[in-house]
Amino acid sequence: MRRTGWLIVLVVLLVVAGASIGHLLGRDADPREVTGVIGSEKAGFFADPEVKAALAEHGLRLRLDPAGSRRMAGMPLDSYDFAFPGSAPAAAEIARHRRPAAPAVTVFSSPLAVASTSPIVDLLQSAGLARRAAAGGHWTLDVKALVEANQRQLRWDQIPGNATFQVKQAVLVATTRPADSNSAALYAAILNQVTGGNLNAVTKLFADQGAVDTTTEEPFESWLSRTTDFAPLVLVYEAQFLDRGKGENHVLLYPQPTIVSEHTVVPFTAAGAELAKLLQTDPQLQRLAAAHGFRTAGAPLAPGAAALGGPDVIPSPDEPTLQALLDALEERLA
Amino acid sequence: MRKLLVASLALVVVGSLAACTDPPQAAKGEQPFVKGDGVLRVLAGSELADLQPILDEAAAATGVTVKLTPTGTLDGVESVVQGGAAKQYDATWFASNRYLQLHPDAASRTGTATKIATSPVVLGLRRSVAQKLGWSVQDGGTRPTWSEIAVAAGERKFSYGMTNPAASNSGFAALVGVAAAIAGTGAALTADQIGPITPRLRAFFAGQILTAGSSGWLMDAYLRAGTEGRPVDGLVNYESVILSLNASGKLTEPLTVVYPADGVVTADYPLTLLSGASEQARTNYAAVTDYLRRPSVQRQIMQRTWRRPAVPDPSLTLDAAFGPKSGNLPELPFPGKLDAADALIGAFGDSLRRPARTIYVLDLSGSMKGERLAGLKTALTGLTGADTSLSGQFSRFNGREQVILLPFSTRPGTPTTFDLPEAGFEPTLAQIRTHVQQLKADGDTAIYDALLAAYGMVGAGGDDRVTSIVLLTDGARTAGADLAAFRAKVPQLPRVPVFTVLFGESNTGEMTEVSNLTGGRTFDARATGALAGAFKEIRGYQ
Repeated sequence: MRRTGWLIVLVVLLVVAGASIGHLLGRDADPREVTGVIGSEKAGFFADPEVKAALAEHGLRLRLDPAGSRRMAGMPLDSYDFAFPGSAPAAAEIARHRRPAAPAVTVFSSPLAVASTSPIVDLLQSAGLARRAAAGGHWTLDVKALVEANQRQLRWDQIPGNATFQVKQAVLVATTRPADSNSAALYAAILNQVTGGNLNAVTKLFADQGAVDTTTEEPFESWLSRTTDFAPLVLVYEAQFLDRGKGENHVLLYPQPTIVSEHTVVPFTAAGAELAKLLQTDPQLQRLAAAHGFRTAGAPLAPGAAALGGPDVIPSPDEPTLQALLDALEERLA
Repeated sequence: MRKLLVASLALVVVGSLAACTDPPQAAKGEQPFVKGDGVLRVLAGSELADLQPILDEAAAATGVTVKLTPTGTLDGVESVVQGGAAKQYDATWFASNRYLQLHPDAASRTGTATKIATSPVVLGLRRSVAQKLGWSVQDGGTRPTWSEIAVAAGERKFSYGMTNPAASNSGFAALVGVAAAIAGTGAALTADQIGPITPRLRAFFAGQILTAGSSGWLMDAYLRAGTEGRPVDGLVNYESVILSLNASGKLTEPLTVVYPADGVVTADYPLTLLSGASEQARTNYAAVTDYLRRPSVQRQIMQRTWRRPAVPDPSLTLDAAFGPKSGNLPELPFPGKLDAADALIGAFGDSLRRPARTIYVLDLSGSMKGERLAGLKTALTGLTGADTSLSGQFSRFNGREQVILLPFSTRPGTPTTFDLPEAGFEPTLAQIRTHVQQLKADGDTAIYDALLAAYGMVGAGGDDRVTSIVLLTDGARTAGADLAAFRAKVPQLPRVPVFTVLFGESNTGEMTEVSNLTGGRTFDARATGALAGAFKEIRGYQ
């Protein structure tokens, strides 16, 4: 009887002690929650268990809302520690709407690119719209020729010798909405440059697509699921394709010219600033960003990325110039 | 030794305590569930009700109960863009956000959108009919284009059911798809392209003999037509609906899925946060979307609801029932401008669909005096263009429609017929408004005499109209034929659905039986001010 009583007391004690230790340990290891609104194209990076672990080592856990980078400035930003759009101009616009606690930091970059498949690229080549770069051998999409093709309403089924994709569909790059999403906004800037500011021509490459998504990850994911059925050509960041887009027949093209997007953290709080610093300087996080296809200071060329030379890349317009273009475009598209 | 025994006993106790409260475990190779707490309130398309078992499992795994409140397409969009939705809900979940996003206010009203599944709009045809038309690929046939489908429908080589584009997303997506394909430019449809393709679109819709305001009711009506020995040949709806019907065991003949060769419009079911959702709601949203997008759950959604996965994952291969195997299901463009989309919905009612004959059997007995009569006048006047809301705009009486008002009290009154022309129908709408204002209430309630009188007008003209009857009464029959007498006559009556409206002290049992007997549906307008909404909802079925 006595012995049984002892046993019960011991069991209870052990259970309580175990639970308390577990509770204490849990609390000690419980990282601070930092909340941010991010460009959808970085959702895969932040969902990576290794990235989560690396942040947890620094006592941080993230709660993220993906949104179109160009929509962020118009969102209620009060509840966030940081915003992480896909470009420096978008970051500047966000900083105009909520004063940052520290300067915005560009933590990695990625050029605009186009995801496609080899039969489609062959058709583009025969239509004079795509070719391999003399230096590097990567595929390029001739944006000027694409605009001209769009002006004469070229459809895929009209490309001579086409036996692989007899679809009555306009030859277009599927994008997001420029007013919502950074990738489409920068694509508009490229179109504006190659057309010498011909707004009607720029508009047509968006208007012909009809209604589109608001974040870059959405059309890319639809393309990964349905490839050519969703769209034969999809605008992406190079990083998205290098990270998740590789597959049988899949081909990455670079618009000629392209723009390099600078993925920039706008910190609103001390915690946001801490995160920005970590993403920029922590070797482990920089390594993981490179593994997800981003170009980083330490690894300027992710595996599989093309070395783009001077004439291949144009600078991104500054925010007022870009915003003026987008406003004019939106007026025609709405 | 004893210490060891005690320690291991303690471990056993701790272990079994944990086992008692074990929540569901994440599938092998997947990360632990993200946790939330409480309810995620979601304004949703009614066809998503079939996901309830999956949502129940999501609740067990995440701690978040997803509460779906069904709504029609335009009602849902209207509620979001005007800000009403954000007051009652945390998120929306429609078949597609395409139309919503065309509204200028949508950007500020909605936040993160996460796609959960996909399903293309296709034509499902009874296999024997698909074979006869040469469209059954499994029997050596070829895939027709939408234009070929339209020609065959115009020649009445097959008949089909489809939901009303203004009320339900499947009908709207079908309308967008067939219009884009027939326009054939390969680019998004613009408002000025609708006119030139009207004759071919009209041919397509000539084959539509079944309409509905919701996908669920369309399925019921389709099955009912089959069991009553007057089968409809097919359905234009989501692939998931057709495949679910085939798997249900309820069909007398399986449906062959016809995938139009020139493309489809695909629903992508974005679960979408509303602006202003609370921190807890955002956490709950993150937990639920994380759950629904796991490959293991995506597979469950595919196997149980016949929707395709939205998440690209090599482990998610399509089951054999999905086709076509080689891909070749190009996406047709959705209009990029609101005016084009609205012009298309408007054109469907006013010039593309088979014109309707709509008979309103209206109780004007003494009990309708006062507020009730005023409510009826407002509701009817709303359908003449006075209701300028988004849903009101598209539930207006249509061009080419014949509207018959048949008042009754002690006996059936004199019917008044209004024929709307194809264009310039404002004068006719004004006549309806004037007529409605003059209605007066007095006398008894001869419900079934009036209903039988309405049936007497159904065949008038012997034309090709989609005919239906709306019965509004605020109380029990007090004069003339009774329900038993009506029931006895139903077998001899033409097949015309009666949509009964519960109002005031309606006899719910009798009104439900009348709608069941005739293949109609009962709408509840007993709440104060609900009549206008019910009349608008009924427009989806007329």
